[in-house]
Amino acid sequence: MDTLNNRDLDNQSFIELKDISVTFKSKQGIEVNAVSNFSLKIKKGEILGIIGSSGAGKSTIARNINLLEKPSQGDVYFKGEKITNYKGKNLRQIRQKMGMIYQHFNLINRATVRDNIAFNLLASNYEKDKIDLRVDQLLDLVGLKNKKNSYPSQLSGGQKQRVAIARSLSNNPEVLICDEATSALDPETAQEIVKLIKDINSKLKLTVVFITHQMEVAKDLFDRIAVMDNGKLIEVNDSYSIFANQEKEETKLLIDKVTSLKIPKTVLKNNNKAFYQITYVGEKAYLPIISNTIKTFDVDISIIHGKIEYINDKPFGILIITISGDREKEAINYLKEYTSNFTLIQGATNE
Amino acid sequence: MNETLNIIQQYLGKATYETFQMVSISLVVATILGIIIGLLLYITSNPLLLENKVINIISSTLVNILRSIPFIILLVVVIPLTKIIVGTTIGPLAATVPLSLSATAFNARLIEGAFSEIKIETIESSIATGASLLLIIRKVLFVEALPSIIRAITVTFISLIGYSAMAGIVGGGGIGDLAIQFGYYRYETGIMIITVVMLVVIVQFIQYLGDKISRAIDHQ
Repeated sequence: MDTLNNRDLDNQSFIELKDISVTFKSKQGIEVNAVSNFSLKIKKGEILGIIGSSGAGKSTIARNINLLEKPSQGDVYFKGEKITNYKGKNLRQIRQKMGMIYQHFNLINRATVRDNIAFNLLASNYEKDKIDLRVDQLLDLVGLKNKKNSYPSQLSGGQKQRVAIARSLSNNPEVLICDEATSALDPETAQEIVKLIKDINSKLKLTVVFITHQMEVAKDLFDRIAVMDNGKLIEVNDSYSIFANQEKEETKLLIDKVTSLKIPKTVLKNNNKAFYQITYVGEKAYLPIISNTIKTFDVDISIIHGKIEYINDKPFGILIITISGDREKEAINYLKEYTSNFTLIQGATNE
Repeated sequence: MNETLNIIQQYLGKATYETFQMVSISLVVATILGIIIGLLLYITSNPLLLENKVINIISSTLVNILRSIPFIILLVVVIPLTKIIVGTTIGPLAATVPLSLSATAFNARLIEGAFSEIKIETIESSIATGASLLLIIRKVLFVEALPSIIRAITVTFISLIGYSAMAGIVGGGGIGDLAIQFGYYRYETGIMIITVVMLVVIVQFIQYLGDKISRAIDHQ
């Protein structure tokens, strides 16, 4: 049974969402398509991000995975097993293999941290005498050992999310579903949670499905990104490719939020030169393109704006420049050839 | 003045005991049944838990019927039932039957309300853990709703004291009945004042205690 081929297949489609559609009935009785014909295979051990603007259907997809919401059409497979119609005990056992964390943490507010975590252990009939030991282990993992007897109201947002993570990991799940898990946190705390999830992913070999509209998080955390728009999956690729080169306009709009450079209007207006935007990705990012251009064509290049982002530890650079000199045209052609993208963002105003 | 003291010596102890008897028995019944019915009303109306329109409509209608009959009428209407349960139709024990019925219906609605205050996300996240319904009821619903349940029981307790005054109709006796028999029919203003003051003090104390417990266990 467990041949290499089979295992490989399992790893490629650890979770599979097949042709999923979800239809809601609004209060006025109108049918709304939250998700339509969504198909995606999630690999074992990867951190998959599902991004999209709000209302794109991301959360619905997340909730389809553990069947908190049942798709109106299509099927959900977990390790090759069709779980769409699971009920009762079978469904509960599947859910124990999938941890979930939320934007607003959703802890039991009137139970201590210990009891919140113990709840998940009780759900899986964990041996009662060993619960406290396991709770200590989990709190250690998320760095909250001294908060065992605190109530959620006594914790900060980041600490609450750590408790939620500890709780979700209590039954050694194989998947962690994160529904906007950093969206209610300030940027620093969000970074901490991202780091924690990354650690957990590598330490526990846990598959992570992370829903977010925060591109900053996407940049730091995801191995692969699925882009949703209007209930549909429009693009899926490894993170770097999504950031470097978007196929769809909707994706571009999302990515631009992180990567675009803004130049004050006054700068653009008062300059009599043309502005070009250069992006360079992958190996090209390391080449001394600008200095080569200057030397070869004897032109002046001024850098107006620029930044280099690291996505999955790979550089991704953007520069906005102006070029002047006799061999300007040749320089431009050279740049076009050796950069990933070279576009005119504004022509010279005084020409 | 002497007359008033006389009546107090002779009847107040007995009346207090009767009130205590009627209210305590009814409160125990209303708490147990009220929690069960309140929980039933809640879980059968919640699509995440055990949504069941038929059971919900039946239990809801029963509760509404009990709640819409004025208590003084209910006292009389349930006399045959009282006869079956207690064996007699007069006295404080007999009064506990209509009192319990009325307070159960009242309490059930309040308890249902206490459960519906729980954030739906909290319930959803507990479902996502794969917990059984029973575990969710025990460790989430009751834990989250407990302060509100205590407040609901406090309100029911106080209403019961009020209703028990009407139990005189079926010979239930009690403090309220003392006020009517002596304070009203026999113009013993002293008795009226004393009994009313007693009731006010008791109610104040119960409310104080209820608030105190509810706050002590509320960690939100």
